[in-house]
Order: sequence, then C-alpha cells, then structure tokens
Amino acid sequence: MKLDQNDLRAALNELRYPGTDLTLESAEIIDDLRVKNDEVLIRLHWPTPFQASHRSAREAVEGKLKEIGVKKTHFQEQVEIPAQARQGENSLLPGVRNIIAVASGKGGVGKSTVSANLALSLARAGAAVGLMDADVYGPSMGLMLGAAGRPVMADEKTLIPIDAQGIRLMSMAFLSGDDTPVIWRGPMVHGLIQQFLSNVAWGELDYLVIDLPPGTGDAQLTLTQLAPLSGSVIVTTPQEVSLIDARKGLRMFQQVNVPVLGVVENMSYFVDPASGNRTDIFGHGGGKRTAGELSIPFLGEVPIDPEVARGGDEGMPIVRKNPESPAAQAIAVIAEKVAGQLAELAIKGRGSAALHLDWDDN
Amino acid sequence: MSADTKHTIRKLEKAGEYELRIEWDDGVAMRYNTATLRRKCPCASCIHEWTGEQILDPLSVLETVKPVRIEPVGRYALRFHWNDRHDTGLYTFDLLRSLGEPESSPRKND
Repeated sequence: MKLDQNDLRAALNELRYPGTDLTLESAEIIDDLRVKNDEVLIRLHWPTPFQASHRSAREAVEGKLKEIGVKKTHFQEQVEIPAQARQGENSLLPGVRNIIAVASGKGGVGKSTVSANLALSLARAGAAVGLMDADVYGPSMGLMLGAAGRPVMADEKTLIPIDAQGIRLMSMAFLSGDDTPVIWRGPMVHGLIQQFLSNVAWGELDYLVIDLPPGTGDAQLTLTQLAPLSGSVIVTTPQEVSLIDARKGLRMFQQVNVPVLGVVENMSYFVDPASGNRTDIFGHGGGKRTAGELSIPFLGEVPIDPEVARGGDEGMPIVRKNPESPAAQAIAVIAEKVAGQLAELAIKGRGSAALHLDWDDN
Repeated sequence: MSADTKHTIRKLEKAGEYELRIEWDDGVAMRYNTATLRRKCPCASCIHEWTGEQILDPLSVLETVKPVRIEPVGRYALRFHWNDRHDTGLYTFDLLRSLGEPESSPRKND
C-alpha cells in the first residue's frame, strides 16, 4: 500500500494532546508531515513544556501510524508555548505569553507555597518563568526562594527582576524589606501594582505566576483589573468553610472576565513517613466538592508534608528540594494541567482581534 | 475546560463617523450611537456612586461627540477617550452588551 499525506493526517486526526481537548491536527501541534516510502518524518510543536505529555503524544502518534503501515516514524520536536491573544497593542507585560494569578479567599492556606512551587515546576520542565510576589501585605517570596539580592535598575524607572533558582523574581519585599510591615492605602497599592506591571523588565516569558494577596479586596481587584491575566488558580484547604472563600474568589475573577483554571486543595492529607498511614487532618475532599459545586476544574490535592514548610523556610521549595516527594509530584501534575488549559485557551483564542481603536485612523 | 466567563468582544470597529460596531464572541453584532454611549458613561463623575443617580446632564452631550481612542482594560472592559476630553468611564462588556442595538441581519463569521 502506498501511503500518502492525507491518509496519515486522517489517521492522526482524532489524537489529542494529553490533558487537553486540543487535537494535534487542529491545534497545529503537527507542524509538518512528510512521507518517504514507508517512513514518515513528522515535525511537532509542543504547546506545553512537560516531557511526559510529549512522550505520551509521541507514542500515540507512532502507534497510529504503525497501524496504517508506517514502518518507522522520525520525530522533530520543539516546545513552542502559545501566547494568549492580547486585546491591545499597548498592553502591559508585552513579552509574557501567559499570566497566571494564584489567589485564595483567605490567608493561611499556603497560596504562596503553591505559587512558588508551581513556578518552579514550570521552570523545571524547561519553560521561561517569572514570579511576581504581589502580596503587598506580606511578601514572602524572597525568603521562600532564598533570594537575598535586590533588583537593579536598568534605567531611571525600570527594575530588573532577580534570578532565583532559575526563575525571574520580583517581590514587593524588595522595595520595602522583608521585615517591614507594609501598610499601604488603596491608592498606593494601585500605584505600586501599576508600577510592577509596567516598570519591570520581565523580558520574554512563557509563564508569569502572580502571587496575589489573600482575600478579595482592593489590591486583588486592582491587579485583576489591570493585568492582562490569562487565567487564575484558587488555592483552598479541605475545610467546608473554604467553600465560601473559594466562591468569593471565583466571583472576583468572573467579574473581570478572567478564566478560572481550577481549584487546588492544599494541606489535603498527611502521610506518616514512618508508617505510611494517611490521615485527613482537616477533613478531605472539600476542594474537589467546591470545584464541583462551582463547576470549575479540580486541579489536584497537595498533601501536608513538613518538608514543604521546611523547604519554604530554608529558601528551597519542595519541588527543588525533593522533586520525588508526593507533595512535589502533586504540584507537578497541577502545573501540567494549568499549562494544558492555558495552551487550550491560547490556541482557541487565536485570531481574536485587538480591542484597541484609534477613531480617526479608520 | 475552565469555568464559563461572560461575553467577550471579538471585533471592535468604526461603522460610521458616529457609530461603533461590536461583534461578540457568540456571533451577535451590535451598533452604538457614539453620543448615546457617551451619555451612558458609568464613571463616578457621571453617575453618583451611592445613589446611582445620573449626574451628567444628557442634554449637555453634543450629538457630535465621538471617541478619539478606545482601549481595553484587563479583559472585562473598554476605556473610551471621548473628544469632549472625558476619559474616566470604564464600560464593562456587560454594560456594552446591554446598551447595544442588535443588528437586524446578523452577519456571522464574515
């Protein structure tokens, strides 16, 4: 049987990129496909950085092609994380492809820990990642990532983020000092956030993770209104009460039209390292139930692990300190889902027009 | 997939000297007279923040009012810079959706 392009493409038509409903074909993940006798050369543009996803997609492609008689498939692979459509030519953060806000309805749920580890997971997978600690009231990222430096000024008003374990970090703490309580009034918060969004030289980034202050007040609203957010992640704990807070967070994002990528349940359960027994200290399943009731995706649960807290205190988050630990693995899965959803949003939003209009030029 | 968000704008265009056209993500297209839109400005100096009463006298807005520039705010609103120098109004997509005159024959995916 002689193979031709169309047969091959038809055979691959149904294949989806892991964790998304993007088909390899329509999402232009298959960039090129050539046939020579009974061998095929296929060029792939991966929309997320995770190798496990690449591997399973590659195996699916290979399997399908084998079924229709291809003897050997050669792959050329490249990671190309799609950028979200921007609604304005002079939009803030121009070199940043995806902007993820991490929020929580209340404090103490480990939002900053999740942010730091999420950013590191994406970076470990090979993406260019930035982390903006926008927790104006209690910035802690410098400490968590063991970054002691201060950002330098590129010119009179542009700040260069510091490099912390391979991610570009900018924190409110750099401007005020770790131990000085920041007492900002509404308008000052607004100004500060504006400055962070417009005067930091992030450069080219695949993902910028923004650690929002806990709650749904002024600072959060300002950020969600000003920043061209691609999506948000809501962190909760398993307690029932967190449902109320999560719902507030969801409302806030809905008001400003930011897609909620899902809920993360932090401090989900504890596994005793000695016995291996699992204890649901704060109950279990609240996050999943919350996600179900609010019809948003459930991204995963992160177990309680003293190492997580210790890692944060030592400036070495769990994802780097012990990437094989259950907590780090859980966060890696969450990062993969987040990246998958963002790729989906970006690819589906392609071609949407800029919402900037100069009346007299038209 | 992620939770549903509200309607978003697919296309923003000038349909006439005093007419704006918006095409929504669900294919619905709407038209807006620019002076009418200016009179509906939702900002705090046009609408009283507590009572919701209109402070702006609609009669003070000339028929020749039109935008100089329109720009997006986050992903939920548009800011209009009007030629009467007013530029503080953020028109949310929800508000715009409620103010538009639907086109009689919707042009879908042209």
